[in-house]
Amino acid sequence: MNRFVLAAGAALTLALVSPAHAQVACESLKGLQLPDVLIKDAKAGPSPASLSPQGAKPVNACILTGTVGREINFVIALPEAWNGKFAMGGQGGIAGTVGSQAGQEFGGLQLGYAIAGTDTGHTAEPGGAPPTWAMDPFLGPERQVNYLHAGIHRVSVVSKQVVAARYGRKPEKSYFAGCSNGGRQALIEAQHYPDDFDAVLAGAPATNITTLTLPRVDAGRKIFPDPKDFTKRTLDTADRNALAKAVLETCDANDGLKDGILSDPAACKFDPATLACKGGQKDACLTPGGLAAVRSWYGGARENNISYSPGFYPGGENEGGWGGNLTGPEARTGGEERVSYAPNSGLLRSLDFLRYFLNRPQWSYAGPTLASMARDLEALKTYNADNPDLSAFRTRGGKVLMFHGLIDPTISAKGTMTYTDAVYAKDASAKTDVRFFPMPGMGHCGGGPGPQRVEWLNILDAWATGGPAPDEALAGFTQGGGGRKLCAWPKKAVFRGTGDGRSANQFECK
Amino acid sequence: MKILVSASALIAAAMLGAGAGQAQIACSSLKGLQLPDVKISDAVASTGAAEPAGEGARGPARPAAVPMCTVTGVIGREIRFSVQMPDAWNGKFAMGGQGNIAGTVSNMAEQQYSATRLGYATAGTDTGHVMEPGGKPPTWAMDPFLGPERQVNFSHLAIHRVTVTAKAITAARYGRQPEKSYFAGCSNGGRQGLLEVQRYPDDFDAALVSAPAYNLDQLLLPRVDTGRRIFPDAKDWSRRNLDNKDRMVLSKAVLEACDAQDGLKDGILSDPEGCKFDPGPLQCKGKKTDACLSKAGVDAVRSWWGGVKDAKGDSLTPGFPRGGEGDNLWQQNLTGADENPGKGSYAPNSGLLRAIDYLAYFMSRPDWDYTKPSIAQLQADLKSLQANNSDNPNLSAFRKHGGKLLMNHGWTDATISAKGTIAYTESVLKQDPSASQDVRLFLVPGMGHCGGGNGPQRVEWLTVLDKWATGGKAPDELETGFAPPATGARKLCAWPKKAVFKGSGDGKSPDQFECK
Repeated sequence: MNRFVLAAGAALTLALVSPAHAQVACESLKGLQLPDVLIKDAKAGPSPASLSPQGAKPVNACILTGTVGREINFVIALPEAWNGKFAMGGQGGIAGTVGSQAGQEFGGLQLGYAIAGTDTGHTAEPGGAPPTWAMDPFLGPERQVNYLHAGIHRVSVVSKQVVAARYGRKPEKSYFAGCSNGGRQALIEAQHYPDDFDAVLAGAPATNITTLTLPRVDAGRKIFPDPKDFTKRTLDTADRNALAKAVLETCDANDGLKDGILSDPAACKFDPATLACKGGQKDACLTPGGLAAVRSWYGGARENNISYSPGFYPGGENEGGWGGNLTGPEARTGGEERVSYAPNSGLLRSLDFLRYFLNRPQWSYAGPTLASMARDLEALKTYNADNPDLSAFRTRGGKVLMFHGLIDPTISAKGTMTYTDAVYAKDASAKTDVRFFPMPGMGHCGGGPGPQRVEWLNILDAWATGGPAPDEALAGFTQGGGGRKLCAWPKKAVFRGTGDGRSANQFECK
Repeated sequence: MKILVSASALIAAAMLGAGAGQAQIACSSLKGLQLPDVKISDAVASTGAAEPAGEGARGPARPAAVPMCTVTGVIGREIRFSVQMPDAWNGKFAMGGQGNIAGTVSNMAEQQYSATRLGYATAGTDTGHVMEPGGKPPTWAMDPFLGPERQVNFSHLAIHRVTVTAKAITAARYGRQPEKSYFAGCSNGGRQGLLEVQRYPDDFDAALVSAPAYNLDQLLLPRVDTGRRIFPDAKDWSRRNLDNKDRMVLSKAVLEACDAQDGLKDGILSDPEGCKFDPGPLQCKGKKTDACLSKAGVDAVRSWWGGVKDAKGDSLTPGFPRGGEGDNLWQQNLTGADENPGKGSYAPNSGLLRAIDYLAYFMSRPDWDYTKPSIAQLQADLKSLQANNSDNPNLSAFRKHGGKLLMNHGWTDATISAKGTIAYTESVLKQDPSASQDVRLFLVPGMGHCGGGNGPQRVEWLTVLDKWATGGKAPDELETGFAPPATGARKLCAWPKKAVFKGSGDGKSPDQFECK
């Protein structure tokens, strides 16, 4: 028995008799033998809720689970009604549970894609506890490499072979779709594994670990100056609500629509000093500490006239994302010795890298200069997905589609603009293959009042299968109906001046 | 079924193979094999014309080269490999390790143990990086994007990935899985062997581990500690406190003091642990001459033999056995060549320079100065490289499926101390005394690093391993032949026993020795 080529007798028989394009039975895939791959299970049935957007109908599919190498766990979902294509999904944060944003965020299964996802080679500590997995004496370096790039690549190539085994032919097209860390993965794939995909969708990509981490520490420690006691903070929820109100009063009407959405936040020249507490005022104003934090957030992390990050746009200060990333919830306990991300995920997630990825769990954010942190983060520069040279990917027809919410308080949309500009500067012809859509009023991978229902996978697919590069995209509102236009960077959707702002034709790209 | 086999030729072969059970397929058809993350570059049949023996070959005279199929390729981004499959297959697979910091596709199972000529399918790799040309420093380890992956590949991942891929290729060629799979390697290859049995216990049925570099502290601390006593100025290696005339003085004195202790005055210390020679009397009384050692030179020798001590004076490394100071290996590792060829070569002192590979380049600090840090600082720094260590004494998972571990180490090895391998073996037996059934260590008197030296060292290691792994008894004694033009043989004894000369004869026949 040739165990290598085919393990299960059933699969062998099929290989011998089936015509070129026949499907094999789902369960027989359990016998598939690929080196360094363990298929744990293969079952036909309705897809689990975890692989679809909330509320979407399950899809009848063959669901495989397994492991690549020692501990890169994966899931692959192969729909009965296959569209002939494969969509690999990314993972947010520092991954650690098997998930696929191609399914969860972009509805790949419902569109007929075979999809896959992974935990990228480690299991998240329970309850948001610190990532000590990254410090394991033997496995730490491999886990970090898997998280940084190898995990997603290895699962991609294994998944494509599983897809081919199931359907009797290779996928016609393969796409990657992810947001946040998943957006980073998409760009890593295009930059470093140019043969893996025909097109990638990168939402709110974490392109650079320094610009990701330093603003969180700089603003975060201005809000929470005592790393031992998070009950004390210089900026609270009432403050940020006051900030949101002042920002909108100053800038909301700039775009011709008073709707809580800043279409062009770059043009908003709001000065937070106008909110500084005056003469005994305590509520709904900014203390010196709070003001310093807000200035750092908008203006970027700076020290000794060196800028370490581009800053965040104003807007969305009253959204949940601002609370989660910056001010934290009303009830907070602990300090940097955390048990969960709840008190301030921006600051605490920066500690994931600065402490645990660097094998120094006692490191404190209280003392070090930004310069020393930037030096320390050099050791993790493999994280970065900011190589502007996409020539290898583009040579074989690869397309990069990016989007980023302009009120994203986790990763600044400015970084994605900078990256896109760098790609175009490196090679002006890249405009035909690389497109970026900034999204007014959207937070991190979603959320916020802006229109954000976009058929991203369909847009990517239409482009990758020969359609024109998208100049505009339709974005529907999540509530209240209607939609607007998104425009490919550097153009902006400008309101023509008449209408309710809920129809795409009321806007033009300029 | 495109996924498993791409070329139609291969599908046909697989079908035939399924029918016949064990049919070989044509070598060239393996070019079409599709495995995830594996690119097959070529598959070429060769007729078995004589090939030069690999350096360090120390088995018996090599049998004739055999007709075989060689498949080369790349796993992942840059783990290059070569799989050789003889037409007359013995049904088994032997994975070969790589010495030093690897970086060229090589295979110790083939180079040192003639695997294909014994009928094994065998494989080697570069472990995922290409060494810098001409012995230049390993800047490959510092690449901004690829450095971490290359280091993980070198430390353990590549050898595992090539192993499972090579087994799949072997099965594709012969139509069945290998009945037994062995690992064979020396030095870094010995480290890889221990790492496999500790961390990937299912990969092999048995491992042949020689002179393993199983712990970076053990490997590097003595090199830095003694090396900087010999070369105190990091900028000027023309100054050294111990030169090659000194080591010949040392060698002579050691042999005068200890050679006859084993009953044979033959330049071989059968039991170097019984030799307590101290270099103090060799210290120059006045001016330094070629016939005596400087104070700093004596200190260097004492640190080499005595081991590295921490600030409290406790031993951190077991030290090196005495003997072999007259061998070229001592020069390579310690005193260096008399003609300094300058940068871009390990010749000035490979012990120290190879330590710098790890402490400077693996740690992304190429300007690191070996003369500065305390021993404690060195230990702290080396923690970040501990994934390279293969010193886990728990072999239960490997032993549970019948795994056998056969080790050997030359007593005059001046690269990696045999005492370290003794310490590791002790730790395994302390963890579980029943491991003595499945773990054997043979110390080889008068043998240097993976070979060399004047001791008898021709042993059919791979055949010894195979006999044991296929149901034979655990080896207690082995015959070991002298290399031509010398003739005759002696006995090697499974540690902790030693081959003791019975007192009569020329020391050239195994029956003149007994294991005690």
